[in-house]
Amino acid sequence: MNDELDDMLKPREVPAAPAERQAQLLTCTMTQLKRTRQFSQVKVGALWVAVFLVGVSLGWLGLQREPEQLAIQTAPQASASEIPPLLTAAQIELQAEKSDDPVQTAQLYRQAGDRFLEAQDLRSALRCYRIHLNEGGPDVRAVLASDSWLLMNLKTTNVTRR
Amino acid sequence: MSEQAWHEQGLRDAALAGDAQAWRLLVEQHQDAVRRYLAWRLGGYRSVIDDLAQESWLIAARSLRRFAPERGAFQHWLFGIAGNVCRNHLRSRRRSRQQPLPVHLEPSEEPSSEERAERVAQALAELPEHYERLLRAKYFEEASVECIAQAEGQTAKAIESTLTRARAAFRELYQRETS
Repeated sequence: MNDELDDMLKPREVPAAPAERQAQLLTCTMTQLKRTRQFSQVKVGALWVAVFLVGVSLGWLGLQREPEQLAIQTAPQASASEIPPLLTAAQIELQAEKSDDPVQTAQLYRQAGDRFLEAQDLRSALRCYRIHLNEGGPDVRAVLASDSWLLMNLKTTNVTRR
Repeated sequence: MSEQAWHEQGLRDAALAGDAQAWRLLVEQHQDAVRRYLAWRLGGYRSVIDDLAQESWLIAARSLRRFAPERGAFQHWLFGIAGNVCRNHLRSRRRSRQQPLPVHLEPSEEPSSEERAERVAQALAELPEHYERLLRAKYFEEASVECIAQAEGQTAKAIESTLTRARAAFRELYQRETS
């Protein structure tokens, strides 16, 4: 079987291709080669054109876009009821005395009380808190987490008394 | 890279740059080898050799840029293309079995050799690529086992054993074609 296999797989002799066939082969492969080269040149050219167009488009889009507005946040204006931090406790108390609005008056007395307490002036703080509680009425008598220890104490005492 | 690889790279680059002389040189150097290889792959019938050779060369011209001399010789790259062309041809022939065989055999061969040629071609076309490569080296290129072992980077013993398996696979495929 090996002999038969050797025979089947032995190299076959073939006569050389006729001259005209060889010439034809050369002509058509050269044309193919030329076409391939032209195609690759066109591809490279197309790539450059595409890059140029993308660049132009990006530039054009950049010009069309409006300059971004800077988001400037202005500080909220202080409302009439808020007191600038530079005012002293006495000044706030004075404003509270001048105020006609009972709600604002109560608020200002409370702030004056807070300032006095910060300055360790317990007597003045006590005075201001008392006026705050009297002027503010039942709305301000509830104990709040933001209350100072003195105000909280006054509120609970008032409740107990009542 | 070997000297041959440098030479082939030079010719490839020149041909790609449009040098007709370089391409002519490549064709003239290898066209007979391609024809002989196709004859071997086709088991002996010759009428389609010219057409398949032309098709192989056209593909080679189209994809010359993909030929990498550092990975192998130009001739082996061409044989790869010709092998694929041959396989496609046999596959399409198998699909249209009713067509008469365009077989022209050597006058000395028996009439039954037509069938045998086709079976050999089909069996070679269906062999795994590494088996076909070894059989090609052994029978078509008539290389010694030592030479093949050196080219494949294996021992002679390993090549002998792979060759035995390749022969067995070929025989099995051939007998399947017969049945």
